[in-house]
Amino acid sequence: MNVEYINPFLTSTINVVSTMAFMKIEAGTPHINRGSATTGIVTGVIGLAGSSVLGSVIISFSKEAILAIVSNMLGVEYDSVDDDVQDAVGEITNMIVGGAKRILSEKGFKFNLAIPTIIKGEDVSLNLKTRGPRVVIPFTIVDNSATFTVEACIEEH
Amino acid sequence: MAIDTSMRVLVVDDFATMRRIVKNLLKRLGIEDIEEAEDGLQALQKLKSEKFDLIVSDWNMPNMTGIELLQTVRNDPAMKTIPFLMVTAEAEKDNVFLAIKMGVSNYIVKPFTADVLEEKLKKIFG
Repeated sequence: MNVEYINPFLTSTINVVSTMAFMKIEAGTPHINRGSATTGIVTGVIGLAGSSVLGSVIISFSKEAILAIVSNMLGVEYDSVDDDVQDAVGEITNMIVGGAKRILSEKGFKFNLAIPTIIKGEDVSLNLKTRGPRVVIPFTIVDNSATFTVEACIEEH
Repeated sequence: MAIDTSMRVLVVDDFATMRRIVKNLLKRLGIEDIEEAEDGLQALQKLKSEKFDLIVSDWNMPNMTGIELLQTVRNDPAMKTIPFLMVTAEAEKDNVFLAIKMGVSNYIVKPFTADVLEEKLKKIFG
């Protein structure tokens, strides 16, 4: 996968979390996900398709991370991954991938986005039809050390 | 110029979270009279039966997208003058041009703060 695809997701994730949830996050070193399972307890998945690219983006949150983000975003304390929190995962996924799309389109990579799917549960196996490696960017929330990941699997054809 | 806080706003988004966020931000600006719709079709039903001073709509929605809603509103003599603020996570140049061509009043890129929303409303109503 072209490394140029990765940075826009990193930039967009930091922008969304800091603007909407007023939280500082740090990105770890990107690596390849060798398995097929989700990394967190709740996950947003969005497909993208263009004339020359095809892919999926998977954003998977630990319980601590998503509860902290959504509580800050909506100004209400959440203590379980309920319908509100799952809805927020969809919208966060939309915003992160939408922001990355904007940056990528300026570089000439054009594609359309599908509407996100939200998956609740740990170790959910995702059978992506996209070929190629799943590049994982791990993130940590500075305040509480909670983690989440943004994975991109994009193939050019 | 101050915003008229008595205005009636229709917030259209398929995600309840985003509707809540937009509502919270509008309330922070003093605007309390807010209705919600889950997509363009539901918005149209409300627009046909109730009066609104502003539409704040997401772009990417099932059933009827924001751009389809904008086009329908601008082609309807009874609704065509209602200010329309498009909310989008993408804001690619092509999309922005299309929205402007369709008669959008302004657009706002997600994620955004209350200050940015206030600035856009001032531009629309200023």
